[in-house]
Amino acid sequence: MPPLTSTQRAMVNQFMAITGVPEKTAQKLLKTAGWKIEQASDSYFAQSGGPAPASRGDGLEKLFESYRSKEDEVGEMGVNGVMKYLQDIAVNLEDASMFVPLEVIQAPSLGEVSKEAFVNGWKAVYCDTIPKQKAYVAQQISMLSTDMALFKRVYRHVFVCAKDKGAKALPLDNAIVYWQILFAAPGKEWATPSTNWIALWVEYLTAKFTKTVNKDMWNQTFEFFLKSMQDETLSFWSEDGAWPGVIDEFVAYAKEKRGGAEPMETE
Amino acid sequence: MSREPVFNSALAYAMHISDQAIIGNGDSDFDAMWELLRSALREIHEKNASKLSFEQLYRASYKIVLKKLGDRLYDRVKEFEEQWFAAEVMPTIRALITSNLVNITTGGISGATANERRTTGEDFLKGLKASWEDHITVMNMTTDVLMYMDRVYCSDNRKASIFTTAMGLFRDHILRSPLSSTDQNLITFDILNSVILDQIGMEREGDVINKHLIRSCIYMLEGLYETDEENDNEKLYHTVFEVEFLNSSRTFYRNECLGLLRDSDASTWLRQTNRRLIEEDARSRTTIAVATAPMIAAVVEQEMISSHLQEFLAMEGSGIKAMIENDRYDDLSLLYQLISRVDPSKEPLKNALQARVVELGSDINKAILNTDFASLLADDGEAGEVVDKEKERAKKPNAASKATAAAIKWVDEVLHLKDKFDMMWRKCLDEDLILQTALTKSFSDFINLFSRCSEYVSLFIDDNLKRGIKGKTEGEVDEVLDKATTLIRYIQDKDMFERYYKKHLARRLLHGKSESADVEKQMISRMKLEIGNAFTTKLEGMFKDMQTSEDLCSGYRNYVRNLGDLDRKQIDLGINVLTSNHWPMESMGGSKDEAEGGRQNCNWPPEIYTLQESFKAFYLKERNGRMLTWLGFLGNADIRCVFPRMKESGNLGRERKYEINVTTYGMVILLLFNDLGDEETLSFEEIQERTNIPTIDLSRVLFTISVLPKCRVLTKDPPNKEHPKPGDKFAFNKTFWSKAIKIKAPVISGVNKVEGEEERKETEDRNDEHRGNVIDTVIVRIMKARKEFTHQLLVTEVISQLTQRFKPDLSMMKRRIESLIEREYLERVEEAAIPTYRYLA
Repeated sequence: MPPLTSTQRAMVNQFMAITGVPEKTAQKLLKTAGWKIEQASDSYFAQSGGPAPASRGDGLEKLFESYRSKEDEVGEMGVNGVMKYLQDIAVNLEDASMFVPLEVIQAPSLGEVSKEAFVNGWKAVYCDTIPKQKAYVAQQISMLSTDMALFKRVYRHVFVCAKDKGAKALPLDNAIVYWQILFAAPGKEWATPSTNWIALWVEYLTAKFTKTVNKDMWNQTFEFFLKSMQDETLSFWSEDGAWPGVIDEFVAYAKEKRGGAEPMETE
Repeated sequence: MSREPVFNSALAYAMHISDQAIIGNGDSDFDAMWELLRSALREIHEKNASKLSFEQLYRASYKIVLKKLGDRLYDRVKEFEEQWFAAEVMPTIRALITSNLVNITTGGISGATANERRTTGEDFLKGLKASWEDHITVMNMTTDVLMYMDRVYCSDNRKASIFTTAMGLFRDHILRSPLSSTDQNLITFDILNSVILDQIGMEREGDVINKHLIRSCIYMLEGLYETDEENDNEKLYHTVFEVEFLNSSRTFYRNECLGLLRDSDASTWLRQTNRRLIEEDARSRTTIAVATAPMIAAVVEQEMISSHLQEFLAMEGSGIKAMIENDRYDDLSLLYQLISRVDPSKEPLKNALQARVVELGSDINKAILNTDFASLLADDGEAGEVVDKEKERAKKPNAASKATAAAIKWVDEVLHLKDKFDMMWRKCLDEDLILQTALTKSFSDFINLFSRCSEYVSLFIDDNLKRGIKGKTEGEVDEVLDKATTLIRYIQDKDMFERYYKKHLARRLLHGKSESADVEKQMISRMKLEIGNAFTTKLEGMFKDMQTSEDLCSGYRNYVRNLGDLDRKQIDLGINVLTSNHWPMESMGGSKDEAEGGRQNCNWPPEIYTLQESFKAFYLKERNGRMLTWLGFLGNADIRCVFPRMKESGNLGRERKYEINVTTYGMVILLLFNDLGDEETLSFEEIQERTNIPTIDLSRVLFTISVLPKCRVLTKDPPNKEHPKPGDKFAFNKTFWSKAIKIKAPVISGVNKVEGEEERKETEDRNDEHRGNVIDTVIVRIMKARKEFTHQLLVTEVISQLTQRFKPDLSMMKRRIESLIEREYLERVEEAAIPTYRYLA
C-alpha cells in the first residue's frame, strides 16, 4: 500500500474512532470508498449492521440536551450552550474553524442550534460523541484550504448564519469581517503572487460600495475568488459576462489599481 | 463584307452549260486554259474586266477541274496573287510609308507637325484601303470565274475557298510583309496600327480626323483572320489591333488622370472623365468597332475613375465636401454616375456622404449645446435665487423661451440638412436605395448622439401644433407632419420621446393651446403607423378623455338645469376627467410632493366643495366605483372682483369691477380674503393651513397675484419682488387698478419649454425607472418561456425585444437581473459551464 497523505492519515484515524475497526480495515474501506469518509462509514455500517441509527440518535439527543439551558426553548440550544459546545469540541472561535461545525449542524444563526439539525448533522457523519466530533471537525478544518467543495459549503453557510433572522442581506461591515475571517487560515487565503485580493476587495468595498451584501453577491464573490485564484490576470472576466455589477466594478477598480504600476506586493 | 457577284446574269446562263461541250485532254489543254485564265485574271486585276467573257472563263476553269487538275489551278491562282502583290501592290504601299510613319511606329521622335502626320497617315491609310478594296473586288470576280473549282475541287478536298485563301494572302503578303529587308520585325501591320492610333490620339487632342477612312481600315481588319480557318474570335481586329488600342488608351488615360490630379480640380476631372467616356463610346460606334465599347469603357473607368477616386473626393474646395456644401448638383450627379459605373455598392460615395452627414450633424449638435450653455449662464448670472429666475421669465419671456427657440432651431437645422440631402438624393443620386439607407443611418446616428433629441423633436411638434400651422394650407401642414414623422423615425429612444410627447400634449390639451384637433389626430395616426399601436394607445386615450369630458360638461349642465333649483349664483363648471394612467401626472405641473405622497388634496372652499359634490353625484350615477381626484394645480377659474372707491378722483375715484382669470389654486386663495375684515392680513402659513396647498405651488400662485404687477390683487409684506415664503403676510390690495376689465393672471408653468438640468435629470430618472420595469417584465416573460437560459442569450433576446422602443443599456440589464435574483424570480444555475439562469416559478 502506498504511503498515506496527511489528510488520508487523519481520515483513517477518524474512521477508526467512528467505527472502532483496526487501522488496516479502515484504510481498505476508505480506499474502496475513494477516500470519502461518509460513504465509507455508510457502507461499513450497512454491512456490519453496527450501532443502530436510533441508538446513536439517542446519544446525540442526550448530548444536545446537555448543552441546552433551561431558558432555551424546547428543541433549541441558545447562545451559551453553543459557545460551550464549540469550546468542548476545541474549535478556535477567532477564525474560520468555528464555521465548520456550524455548517455540519446547520446552525441558523451564530448562537442557535436546533436539535433536529444537530442530531441529523452528526448522524450523517457517524459522530455521536464529543471525541468523535472533535476528531471529525479537526480533520475537516485541516482540509478547509485544499478541499474547495468543503470550503464552498462552509462559506455559503456563513451567509445563512451570519445574517439576521429573516433578513435577506448582510450589512456590509459584517460581511467584510466574515470575508476577512474566511479568506485567511485555516480557510483559503485569497491572494495570488501579484495581488492580495482580500485586502483589495475590502478596500474597494469600503471606498465605493454602499449597499448591503445579498446572497447572490455573497455567492458570486466566492466564484470570483475561485476564478481569480486560478487566473490573477482576470482574463476570464468580460463585460458581457454574467458577473454582478459589483464584481464588474471591482474588476475595473482592480485593473486601475494595478494598471501600469508594478504588481502589488503580497503581504 | 460583301462579295457581290459581278457577273450575275452571266452566271445564270452559265448554269445551263452542258457538260459535253468541254471535254478535252492533256496538259496542253491545261496550259491553254490556264493561260486564258491568267490573262483574264490580269485583266481583272487591272480593272479591264468588262471585255472578258464570263462564259469562256467559267468553261476554262470548269474543264480544268473536270480533268482533276483543280489543285494545279488552285496553286497557280495563289501564285499569281502572290506575284501580283509583290509586283504591284506592295511597292505602292511602301511608297506611302514615309520615314515619319516609321518613326511614329518605332516610337522615335517625329519631326513632323501634327498636320503633316495626319496627312501622311491618311495617305497611307487611303492607299492601304484602296488596295484592300481592289483586292476584294478582284477576288469577288475571280471567285465567280473559278466558281466550279470552289464548288467541286475545294469542297471535295476540304480546301479553303479561293476567296479565303486570297484573303489570307493579303494578310501575309501585304500586312505582314516586312517593310525593309534589314528590319524583319517591322511590318505593314505595325505601321497601320500606329497610324490609326496616332489618328485617334489626334482626335483625342481635339483634331478632326477622317473617321470614315479609319472605319474602312477597321473593316479590313475585321474581315481578316489569324488563320484561314476564319475563327470568329481570331479576327485580326481582336487579336492585334484591339489589344494595342486598349493598351495605348490605358497609358493615355493614366497620364491624363495624373495630369488632372496635378493641375485641375475635381469638377474638371468629373467633366473630363464623363466627356472621355462619351467620346470613347462614340468612337467605338463611328471609328472603330462597337464590340470594343465595353472594353474601352472599362479602361477609362479603371484609369480615370477608380485609380484616383479617393484623391479627387478629398480635394480641398472641389471635392465631395465642397460639392455638398455648395449644392453642386451637376458635379454630384456626375460623381454618382461615374462611381456607379465602377462600384455597384457605391462604397466610396456612400462613405463620403455618411461622413459628411455626421460631420454636419455634429456641428448642429455642437451649436445647440453652446447656445444652451450660454442661455443657462445668462439665467444663472442674473438670478442668484430662484426668485429672480421667475421674475426674469415673467419680465422677458425670451429667457425661458430662448432655450425653446434654440431647441426648435436645432430641429429646423436638422430638417434643413435632411432637406438638403433629400434634394441631393433625388436630383443627383438617382434615388439610389443603397445611398438612402446609408443616409438614413447617418442621420439617425448623429441625432441620437444628441441626448435631448426626443425632447426637442417633441417640442418642435408642440410648437407647430400650437402656432406653426396657423394659416397654412393642408398641403403645407402635411409637409410639417411628414418632417416630424421622419424625425421620429430617427429617434432611437422612442420611450423617451413618448414621455415628452405626452407631457407636451397634456399641456396643449388642458390649456387649450392646440391649434387644430384634426391635425393632432393626423399626427397620432402617423405615429401609429410609424411606431405602432402600443405607442399611441395612451395618447389616444388622452384625446378620448377630452372628448368624453366635453360631453360630460354639457351633460352636467343639462342635469343641473333639470334639477330645477336654478341658482343665480350657480358656478359654471367646465371639467376634464383624465384617466390617470393615460396622463403623465408627474410632469403636468403638480409639485413634487404631490407626485410622491399621493395627490394631497386641497381644502376646497364650501362653494366649490358643493359644486364638486354635485358633479360627483352626477358623474358616479352612471359610473359607479370610480374615484375622482381634483387636481387644483391644473385648472383655472374666472372670478369677478370688486375693488372699493378709494379716492375722490383719478383712477381710484370709483368702484372697479374686474374679471380675473386665475388658477384654481389662485381662486381658492382669493376666496379666503372674502371673509376678511378691512385691515386683516393672512400669513403664508395661515393660507397654507387653511388651503392645504403644497408649499411650492402656493408660493408660485401667490407670486402671480401678489408680486407680478399685471394682476396684483393682493399685497405682500414685506413688499419686495421675492417669491412668497413662510413668514410673509398678505392682504387685499384695495388700490388695485387695471386698464383692462378682463385680466389673466400669468401662469408660470403653462408653456412647454426646454427642461432645465434638474428637470431633465428627473425625467431621465423617471424614464430609467420605467425602463427598469419594462426590462424586468421582458426578462420575466422570456425566462418564463425558457425556464433556463444563458446570460448571453437572455441579453440578446431582451435587446431584440426592446429595440423598437429603446436600446437597453447593458449594465441596466445586469442590474435588473441581479434584482430579479434577489427577489427570487431567477436563480443562477450552479455549476453551469456558461453562466445560466433558471426561472423560479
